[in-house]
Amino acid sequence: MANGYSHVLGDVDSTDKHTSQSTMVVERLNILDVLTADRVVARLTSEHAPKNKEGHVITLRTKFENLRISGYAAEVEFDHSFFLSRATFDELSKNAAELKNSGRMAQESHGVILCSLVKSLKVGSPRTRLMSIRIYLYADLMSATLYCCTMGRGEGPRDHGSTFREDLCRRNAAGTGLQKDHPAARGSGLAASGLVGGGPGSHQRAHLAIKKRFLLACLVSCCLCGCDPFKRPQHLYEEGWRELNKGNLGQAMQDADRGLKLYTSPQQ
Amino acid sequence: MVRPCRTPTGGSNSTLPPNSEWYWRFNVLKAEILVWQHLDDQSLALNQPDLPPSLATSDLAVWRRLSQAVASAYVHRLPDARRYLDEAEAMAEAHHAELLGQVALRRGTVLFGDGAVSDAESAYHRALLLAREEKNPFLEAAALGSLGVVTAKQQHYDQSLDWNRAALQLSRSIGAESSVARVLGNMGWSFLELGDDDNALENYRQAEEAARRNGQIGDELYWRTGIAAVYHLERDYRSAEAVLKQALDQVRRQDDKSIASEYLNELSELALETGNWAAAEGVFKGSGGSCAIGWRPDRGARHHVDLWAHRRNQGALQRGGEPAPRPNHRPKSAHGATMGSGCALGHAI
Repeated sequence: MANGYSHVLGDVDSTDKHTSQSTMVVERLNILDVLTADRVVARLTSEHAPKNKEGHVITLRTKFENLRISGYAAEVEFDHSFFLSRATFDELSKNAAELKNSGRMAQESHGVILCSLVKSLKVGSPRTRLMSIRIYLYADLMSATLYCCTMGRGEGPRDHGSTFREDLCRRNAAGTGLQKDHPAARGSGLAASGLVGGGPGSHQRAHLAIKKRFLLACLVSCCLCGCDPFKRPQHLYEEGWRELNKGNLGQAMQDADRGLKLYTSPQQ
Repeated sequence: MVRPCRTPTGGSNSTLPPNSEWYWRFNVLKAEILVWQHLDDQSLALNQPDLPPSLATSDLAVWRRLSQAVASAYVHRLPDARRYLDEAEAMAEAHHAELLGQVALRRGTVLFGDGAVSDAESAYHRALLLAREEKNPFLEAAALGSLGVVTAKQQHYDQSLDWNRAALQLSRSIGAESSVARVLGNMGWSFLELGDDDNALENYRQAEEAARRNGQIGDELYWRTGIAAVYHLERDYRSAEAVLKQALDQVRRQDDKSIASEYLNELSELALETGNWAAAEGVFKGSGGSCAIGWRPDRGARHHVDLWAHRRNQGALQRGGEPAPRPNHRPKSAHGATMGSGCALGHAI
């Protein structure tokens, strides 16, 4: 990736309502020249009034910009309204079945709902089917997985990295489906961190797993390759010509500019 | 059709500074993209420095000359364009036979811009032949579309539509979106000439939309003149004027002045059509009297005639005489191909 950054902000208004927001952005994501995106923005906003038992978490402004799979444009439609209209864990829980029936990933176990924010995905090429992408990283990126649970005040995620690794191993072994012994059920990892049962004063928390997994995915990709894929000029160069052939001049120009930035004039 | 140049091989390039060849490759790529965007002066400026001697006979050198040829043609420097093409052809014949199809395609473009329509047609046929021999569908689509333009210029509109339909089908099947945009626009021209205004308008609109989506700024602006031409023919002068005025500032920033010339011509024609002589004078003066530049000198000449008639009328009226009859000016019936569209189609659909 070219850039990655995150920021958090929060505020308390005169009615003691707490609002917080976290945003993570990855720019020019490129995983093995198969999955590319100009920008990936993951954003969670939480609003919690003291009179409410749980805060309301929404996912608005989470988006992919110019997401492409194997060069074909992929349109991801996020189901923001699902979270807008369901303010509590109980409401989410009631509707988990509805999600599952519509063919989307939605599993509830030990007080944790694991579901996807993605409502639909359209890939430009008729030959490219999402289901054919077996690589775990891609599948997880595309699903924009959300872990929804209740959590006591002051409690927080303990070990994102281990969750990621365990997930990775598990899913590599058994496709992209969630196993019954998911960390949430075994008391390890993020989803299990002090969440079971909830109780008075609990907050609804959602963790957009995509946030940190994006970074990890990139790092893993780089390690597997043994080099920085973004500095391989041949890929960049060929990609530029491919985009030009297809008529995507903006993208082609970005590739050319990036190449020129990496390889400055020998006269300079 | 544009294809990646060959990648650096090392060896003979060992005298170059590290990564130098990549610099030149990305440079040539960018220059080619700029040509597609009709930012021709920028493209020429980028290609201005000479390649290092070690790359003088490389495929890069051929591509550089090809970009320079088309960019020069777009800015009406035809002698330069011809020289660049000759050099590209010589290099391709000696070292890169695989690029001869590209050379033929662009020669057709330059010849077309020069008004040598039948020579351009021969060049496009040669490009088509080479494309099929090389099994290069992008080049084939470009050659088919270019033959569509050249036959339309010869007023063989049905034949043109056949070429264009073949080009459109192939372009869509290989995902060559920029070709799709240009073919749609050129089909709009043929429909317009055949009197099928509805299809013309639909094709022009699709072409404009596709060009905008692709980032083909010059083409997007150019196809607007087609939309305006349809409105003009339907005597919907207000819509025609609105379409053109909306993008006039953007047009003036384009390096390809033929597009600005088209806009100004069209606007002055609209003004003349509606009897708004003052506005017509304003447009003509605003263009620096250059309405006749570009590839449609006949249209500029027509404005001179109309304006002259207008001035003569004014003089006659001031002297208390009868106004002279207006020259027989009718709405233009054709959205002619200029380097902004038809020939652009030829160079790299």
